Amino acid sequence: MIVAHGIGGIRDLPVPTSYFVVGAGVVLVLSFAALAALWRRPLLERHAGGRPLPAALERVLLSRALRGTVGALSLALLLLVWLAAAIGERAGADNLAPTFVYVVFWLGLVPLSVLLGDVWRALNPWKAAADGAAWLWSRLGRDYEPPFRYPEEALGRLPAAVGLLAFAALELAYVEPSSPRALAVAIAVYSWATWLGMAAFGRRAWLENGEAFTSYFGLLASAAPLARRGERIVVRPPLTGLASSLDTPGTIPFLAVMLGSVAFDGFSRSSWWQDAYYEVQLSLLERPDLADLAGILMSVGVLVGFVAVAGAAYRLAVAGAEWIAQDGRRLAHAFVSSLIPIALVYAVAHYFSLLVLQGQVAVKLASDPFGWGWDLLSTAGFRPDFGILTPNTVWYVQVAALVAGHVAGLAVAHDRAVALFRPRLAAWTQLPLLALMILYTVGGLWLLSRS
Amino acid sequence: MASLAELIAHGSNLDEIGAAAFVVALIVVIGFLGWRGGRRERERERD
Repeated sequence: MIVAHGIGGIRDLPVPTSYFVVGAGVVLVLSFAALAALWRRPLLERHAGGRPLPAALERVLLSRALRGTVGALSLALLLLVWLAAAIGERAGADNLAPTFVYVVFWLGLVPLSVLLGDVWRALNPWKAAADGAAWLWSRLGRDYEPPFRYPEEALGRLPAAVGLLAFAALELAYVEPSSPRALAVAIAVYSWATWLGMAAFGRRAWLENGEAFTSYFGLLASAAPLARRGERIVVRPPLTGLASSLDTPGTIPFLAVMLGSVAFDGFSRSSWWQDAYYEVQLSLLERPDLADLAGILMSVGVLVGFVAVAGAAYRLAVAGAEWIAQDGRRLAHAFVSSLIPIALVYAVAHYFSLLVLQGQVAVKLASDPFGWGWDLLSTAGFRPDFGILTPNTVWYVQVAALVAGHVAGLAVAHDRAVALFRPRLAAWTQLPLLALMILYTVGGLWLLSRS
Repeated sequence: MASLAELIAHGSNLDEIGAAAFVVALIVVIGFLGWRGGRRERERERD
């Protein structure tokens, strides 16, 4: 039921797609030259502090009442979606759960996080339930100490990276990703794993390191113009939040999963992959269970391969920068925040059409979440307009987003470099990062044009 | 998968081969510039 992530092919562009590839490379090289010539002092960090919102607005946004209400609504929504998945109509097209999980939640929260900051911190239903349980426990006069200390130095965000990879595998490798029953199992397993993680290691430790979506939306929100600073909410120029090093172990694998999974999604819709995939399926026509298993294993294997390539390419570029700098400093964590705008535009380029098109279906399904013929909100008769985007519009948005995001990535890395090195050396250290950005951009465009 | 000869014989793929060659050349030039620039910068620091 989930519509294809793109809408049709690119058929009537005025110039060949390869011109876009060359043009994107030229834009990146020119951007690099401009940054080297004009951006000679770190700017992002200086503006990262921002200005606080008006006190009255802050009081409302940070109030316990609002947090409790939002948390309760979010938990109720989780329960509704899980119930719809577990007992609602079996066809994904008639059930709210698949559209809600893959479109409203997974894609819809991306623009919200990038524009409004870390909204997931307030919306997270698993955190809301744990906060509620902790509040109740303390009202009963009981203390709770987590039995284990989370090994932050050793593992960091690795469990979150594994969680995100599992979600990507469910969406991209499982044979029936929009099966409501499969989603019900996945939601139940993830919910209990999250609650057990918080009970075992403490809420803060598990949310920051083990809960995949906290890391995902939190990293994207670090580029946002709104941010929490202690008990204040500040407004700042976009991207300035990326000025700091991300020292948490596991951040690079996590970002590699973000990049690699979207890249695999594009690849999995290319004719090369479809031919190879269905050749295997046809050869196992007599054994459908084995065919499903082979399909899942193939997809997971290539998905992991894409993640490994995305991470290895970054490591290689950083090794080049370290070789040029030759001062013994390890730079992997210093430049990793430059991958965040790239992960963002990969998501925008691949999924914005899905959000715009399938997001309309959510309006209809909201009235009948179980697919039982209800019309709770009088929107059951809503007819989505799938002609709202043309294939060429989608393509131009994809190209613009990819190029702009990689230029932003270059700027962030360059700002970090001039904070660490003298301007001339900083510019030289950025050449391997420029090569990386060109590879990511060209790879992204190629995958999108093949989809 | 198509052989190189088939790819070249197919007109529309010439575009892709050209774009790929451009990107590879660009990355080689960038790599060379980084290698030479870094070496010169360190020599300058030593002097």
